[in-house]
Amino acid sequence: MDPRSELILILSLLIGLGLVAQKYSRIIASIFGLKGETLVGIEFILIGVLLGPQGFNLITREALEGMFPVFALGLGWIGMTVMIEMDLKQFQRMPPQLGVYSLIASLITFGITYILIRMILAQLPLVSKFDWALMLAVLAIPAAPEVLAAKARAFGQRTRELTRLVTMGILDDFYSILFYLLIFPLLTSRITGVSYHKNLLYSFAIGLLSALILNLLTIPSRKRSELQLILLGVVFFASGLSAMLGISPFLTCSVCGLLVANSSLKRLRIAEVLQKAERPVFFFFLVLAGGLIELHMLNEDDMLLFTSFVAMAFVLFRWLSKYVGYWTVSRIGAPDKARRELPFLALSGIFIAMLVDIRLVVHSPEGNELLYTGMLAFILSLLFAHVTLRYRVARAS
Amino acid sequence: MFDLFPLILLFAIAAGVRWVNVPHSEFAPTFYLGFILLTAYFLGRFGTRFRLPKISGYILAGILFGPHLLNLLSHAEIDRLRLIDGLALALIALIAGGELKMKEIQKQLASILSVLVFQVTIVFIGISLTVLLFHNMLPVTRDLPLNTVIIVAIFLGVTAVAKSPATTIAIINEYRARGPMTDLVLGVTILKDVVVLLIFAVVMSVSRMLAHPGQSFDATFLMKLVMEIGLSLSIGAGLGGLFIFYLKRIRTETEVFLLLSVLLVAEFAPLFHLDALLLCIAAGFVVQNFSQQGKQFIEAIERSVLPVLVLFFAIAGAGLDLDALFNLWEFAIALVLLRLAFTWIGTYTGIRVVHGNKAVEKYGWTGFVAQAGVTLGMAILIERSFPDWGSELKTLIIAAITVNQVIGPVLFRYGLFKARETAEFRKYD
Repeated sequence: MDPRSELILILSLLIGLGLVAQKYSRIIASIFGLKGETLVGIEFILIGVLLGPQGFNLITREALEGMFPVFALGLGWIGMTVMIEMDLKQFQRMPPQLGVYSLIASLITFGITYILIRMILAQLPLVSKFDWALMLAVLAIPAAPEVLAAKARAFGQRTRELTRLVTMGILDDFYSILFYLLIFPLLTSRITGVSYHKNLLYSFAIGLLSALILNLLTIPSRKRSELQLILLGVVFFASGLSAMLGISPFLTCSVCGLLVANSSLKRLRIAEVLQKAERPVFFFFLVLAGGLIELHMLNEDDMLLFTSFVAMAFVLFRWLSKYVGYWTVSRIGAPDKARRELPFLALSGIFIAMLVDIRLVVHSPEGNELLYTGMLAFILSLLFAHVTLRYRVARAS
Repeated sequence: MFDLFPLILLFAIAAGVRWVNVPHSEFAPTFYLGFILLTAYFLGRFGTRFRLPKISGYILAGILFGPHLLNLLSHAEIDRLRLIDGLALALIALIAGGELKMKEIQKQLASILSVLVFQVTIVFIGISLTVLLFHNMLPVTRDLPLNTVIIVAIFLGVTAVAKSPATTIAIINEYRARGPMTDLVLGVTILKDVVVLLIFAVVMSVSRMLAHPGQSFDATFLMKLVMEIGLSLSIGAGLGGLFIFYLKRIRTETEVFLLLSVLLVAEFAPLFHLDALLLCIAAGFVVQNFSQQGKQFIEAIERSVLPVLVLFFAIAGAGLDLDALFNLWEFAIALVLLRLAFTWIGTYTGIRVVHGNKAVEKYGWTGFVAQAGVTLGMAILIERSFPDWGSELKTLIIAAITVNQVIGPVLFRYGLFKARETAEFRKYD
């Protein structure tokens, strides 16, 4: 069996079983004593690690490399799905300060995480072209409002406080992508050789062109299947073109999504079609992302110790910096205690997309180390968030 | 107008990418999938203004951007994009099986069997005899000994019988055709797919005997094929049962589940020497005729089939060998005309014998013109088995396929409209 067939077999079986498990998830969860729990992806990453080259090697390295175009498509799809939600008119309907406060809190999170991680890394003998502190500082910003929303749903809660928290989480995701857009080209320019300005310019240009094509093609009324085809074509086109030029498909499609969200009259229908395929795309994507982790490289030069240490430090610093950020905001003029709950939110799917995006562009061992650190941090943050959120949601009621 | 500007833009970008050296060409298939998907789809829509089926537009887009004309898609890129072929064929087969309703088939059974027998016999014998009679004029057979000429004639006969089930089903699907002619074409197409494989297996063994006189008739090849067909149909029925269970009990993300199952079948059926096409036809047939979920099943596939269909036909178009056609165009056209004539005679006789529907008698033949993958597969097998002259014969067959694949959808559309079996006639009636 060739590597591609193997990969198709495994992924199809996994997704098939996943669909059945999803149907009976409540029953399965109740067997283990969990009430409406949602792991939002850990299970798929772990499955990927287990089946990947480092586990049972059912997903071989050759097969994974052959799936790079699928990664590019997945990243593009996720970027677009997230940003299509960012209709600035909707933000205007929110209390005007909310956006500003979130921006301040995100800047504080970014700054504190950057300083603390930099201080820690200065103590370690790390020679790297890659600015870990800067990258991890950006990665600290996204929250996982979906985890909070799911938890609230599980407990049957719909309080105003929780709704505001979810909104704040969405704003955090938005700012994280903006920060990522500005910083990612700077970080990768040293490795890929594509200059910062060129990288940024290409991302905007391809995003703009794709949005223009999508908007023009969706002006006439289209059937759902046609809209699906157009979206697939545009995401394939944008992510393929950007990956070919060595720039991030995630960023390009995020730019496209943001522009479409604020310029297209068919925004809602486009968002609906994108979201319909979001779950399987994400499912597929997380398993492959888990498979990408090359654990054997962690044996070299105490890398396992290093990455685990950085991951734990990152989770801790993220929590601390987010707390300081929202505490500061509440002192400035938003005496809303709910904001202080935000630090407890887990890292989101956007975080994983960003990690894989970096891994695709940075082919060196450092890309792998950062991926491993990020995955570990993601798992830690999710486990931590589950315990704390359960308590917070119950209290908010 | 709204469609035209983005298409020009896409074309300009794709042309730019072709001329400039891009650093990461491993991502080229992702980019070209997007490009060909959008351009082919909108060219397909544009073609409907000239009364062309959308499929013809997709094929023409492939020809236009393919290696023989604009060369935006090179041979290497087409090969990489061919990953979609198996998935598309299996999905089309699933739709075909799902469209086969036992009640309708029973009504048409006599016509279907009659047309099948007459068409296969007349086309096969007619083409073989004509080639035998005029073998001195054909460049492939001109310098060959008589026993080899007979083999070539038989092979041309059997490849002329084969047709493209995918194109037929896609056209029926595009025009949402219903009626006696649609049922007949669908039924004959599916049965013919099995019959052609069997005839080809026999012809292959006979040809080996003729080519190497000491060799005896190799029945194992035929036996294996019969087993493969039987096994494909049984496993397909089992798969249909699984689909019914999923549609009844699980119901979540039906489209994803169906797509994944079909992907698995397309990928693994050839590894186990099973016919993915037959397997999926059997699965679709079981769901349609042995459960209440037939409509839900067809709708779920149709919701996700469009991008796959567009890519499949566009890539098929890009893969058509125009060089072969330019080199042998006069012989290819003669072969195509002969095939058309014999197909018409076969269908007409088949319907007349059982006193079938008048419209089917007149226009039924139009559904049997298109040729693609099955015929191409046969040509490749012939080339491998008889390397001395097989290559030249393959070129001629490919040249004929190119013409048939371009005119086939147009003719079938014409036939369906004349027989008043498309959705718009149902609306008016």
